[in-house]
Amino acid sequence: MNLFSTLNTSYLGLIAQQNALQTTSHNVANANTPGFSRQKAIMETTTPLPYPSLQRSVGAGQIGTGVMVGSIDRVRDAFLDTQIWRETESLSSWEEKQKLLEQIEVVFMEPADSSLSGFFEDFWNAWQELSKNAESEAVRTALLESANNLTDSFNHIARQLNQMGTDLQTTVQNQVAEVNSLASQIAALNVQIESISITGDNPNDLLDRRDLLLDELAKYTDFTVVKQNNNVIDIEVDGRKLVEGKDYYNWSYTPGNQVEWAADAAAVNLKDGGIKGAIDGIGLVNDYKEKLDNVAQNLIEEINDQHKQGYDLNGTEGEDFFSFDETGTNYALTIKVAVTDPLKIAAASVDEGKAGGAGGTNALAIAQLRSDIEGDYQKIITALAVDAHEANRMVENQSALVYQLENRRISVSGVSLDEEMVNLIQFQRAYQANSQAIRVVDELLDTLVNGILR
Amino acid sequence: MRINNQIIARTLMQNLNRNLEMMNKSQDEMSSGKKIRRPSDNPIGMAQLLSLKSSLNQQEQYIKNMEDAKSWIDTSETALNNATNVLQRVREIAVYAANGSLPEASLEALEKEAGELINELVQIANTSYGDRYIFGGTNTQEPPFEYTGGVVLYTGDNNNLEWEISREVEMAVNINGNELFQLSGDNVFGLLINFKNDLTAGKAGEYINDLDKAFDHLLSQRATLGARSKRMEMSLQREEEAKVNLTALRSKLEDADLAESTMNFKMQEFVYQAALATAAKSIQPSLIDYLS
Repeated sequence: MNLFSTLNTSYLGLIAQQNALQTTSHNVANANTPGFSRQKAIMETTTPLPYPSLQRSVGAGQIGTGVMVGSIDRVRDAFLDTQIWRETESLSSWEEKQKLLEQIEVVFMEPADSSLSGFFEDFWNAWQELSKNAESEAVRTALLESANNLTDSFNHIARQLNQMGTDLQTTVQNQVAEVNSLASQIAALNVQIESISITGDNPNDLLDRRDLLLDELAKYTDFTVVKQNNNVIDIEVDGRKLVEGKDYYNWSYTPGNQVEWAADAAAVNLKDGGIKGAIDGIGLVNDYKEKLDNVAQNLIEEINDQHKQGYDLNGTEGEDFFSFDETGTNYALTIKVAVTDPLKIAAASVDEGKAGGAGGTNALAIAQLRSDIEGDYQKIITALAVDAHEANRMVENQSALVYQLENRRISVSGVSLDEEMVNLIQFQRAYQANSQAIRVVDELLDTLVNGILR
Repeated sequence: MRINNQIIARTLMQNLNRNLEMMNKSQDEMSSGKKIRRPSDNPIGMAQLLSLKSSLNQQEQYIKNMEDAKSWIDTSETALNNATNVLQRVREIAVYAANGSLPEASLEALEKEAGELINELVQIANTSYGDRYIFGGTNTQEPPFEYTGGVVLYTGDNNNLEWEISREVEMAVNINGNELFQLSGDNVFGLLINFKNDLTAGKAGEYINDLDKAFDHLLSQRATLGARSKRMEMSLQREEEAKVNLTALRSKLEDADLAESTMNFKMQEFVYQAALATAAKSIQPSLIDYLS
């Protein structure tokens, strides 16, 4: 041991504190960076002297030679990440459904008066009025008016539901594009991370950025992370590799089809995530459209049947009251009032009609179809209420869960300014102390060199 | 748990947001007056509300139907009342003429009066309500009775106007002219015309019995209408009561309790302000403030 090596020890101390200060200031600088994990300079002692050997000189044990920063680690709980991804997947899926159901609720507008059930009420009441005033042209015109309002409302809702289906397909398209972009970014980060890890360094900030991309990916799809050497990860979806080291595999989606692997057009069976939610949403929209079509179909068939049994004011048999595009099954979308001449509404029954009178028995028979058709429609709204309520609740619960998990992650990895300030002072003081040690050694050397010469 | 600045900020934001959301909901309730704004607000309540709304709407229509029916029946009853008065007068003439000791001139005067009474009865039979003849069956657009060439012709039909006055309960609101004036054999008009023609021949006495029968017939028709009117009145009362109950039920389901909403809103506002005040205090200090 000599004074020069003590000088060196202090120098190492200066360097280590400086590194730690640098890390601290990096933490402070990134206090609000999304996905950033606080970092810690892990200090360790350098190899002490003398190195243990049989021939070592006699002396008091080992003498320390200083300090070095062994590694700079990021503080991160990988288990929390996995949990957050799982719950985010579920949350995103429910969020898509909730958004959709909320829109469907708006389209149906229940229980407002201008909703379909409101138009239904007017329609049935108009038949009741007609049954009492079969000869009145004003009442007949009012009935046609209310029937037109009803069919317009059917058409409007069906059109809106169609539009929602199209919008959801666009959503899936966008989300698939997003997944492809994320996969390519993750693969690119894998390359950088690997090249740094091979040298034995920790690519902390790159790892943070990759985890952030995985957070993003969880919004769209479920996935499993498979760890490889040198901090490289593979991502598997539905048992196939989406990202494999530096390589990634695209998905493709054309509206009306399933999400596929671009390479071989095999289906991607998603379990969760926004894409799954949107695809489920398309199914939901179709369900509601079908239910609405059923109501419209019943309305058309039952009323036409009854209408044809009656006689109009001219004493001729009734024709179809409603019409629709018979080339398809889009009842709700294409339902129209076929009768345009108020006199041609067949309000009278057979006897009344043949007598040339203005009876309203058939109008009453039509008015009495109300409960059948109304019941079917109410079932749609009840189902919608239950679906939307469930989606709202699930989103609420999942949001709370993800929020809690994120809080825990921030608790572990987030930067605490107070803590960093304490560290700052600690490292600053240590730096000052090392400088002081160098001054003392310098004085000793001064004594030795200049004092002896005189 | 290790608390740091980000957690404090997040928790703060989350809580403020939640408070605002709750305030928004209360405000929505207060301004719209409705508890159920969309189906998902309360699925069970929504199902009840839909069927309640429908029931109420039907009820209102039935009440309207009954009111219309009652006016129709009341008009018919008044007409029948007048008709019985006419018959009453005809019977008086018959009794008077049957006396046998009346001079020719008196009989002729009576015959003239009988002719007028027939005209009046035809007019009564052609009573209209609104622009509709009430005794023509379903043929309501033309006067159902026509007095020409010494006979009264019925041009209406034998149909009834069946209106729905309650769920699946239909009731005829009219009595068609045929049924109303038909006696066994002849009708009331035929009887009166024959009576008039035979009056000067001194055969008035032979008609008293038949006139009594005709009178009874009209009375019984009037009684039928009276019973219907009474029934309608009672149903109306019942339906009105039911409507009040249903409306109350609907209001309970759908309408916001304004006092409760206001109180909730006030409480939420208080909590929100407290949260803001706490935030202002807790977010500021940090160790940095105390290092110099």
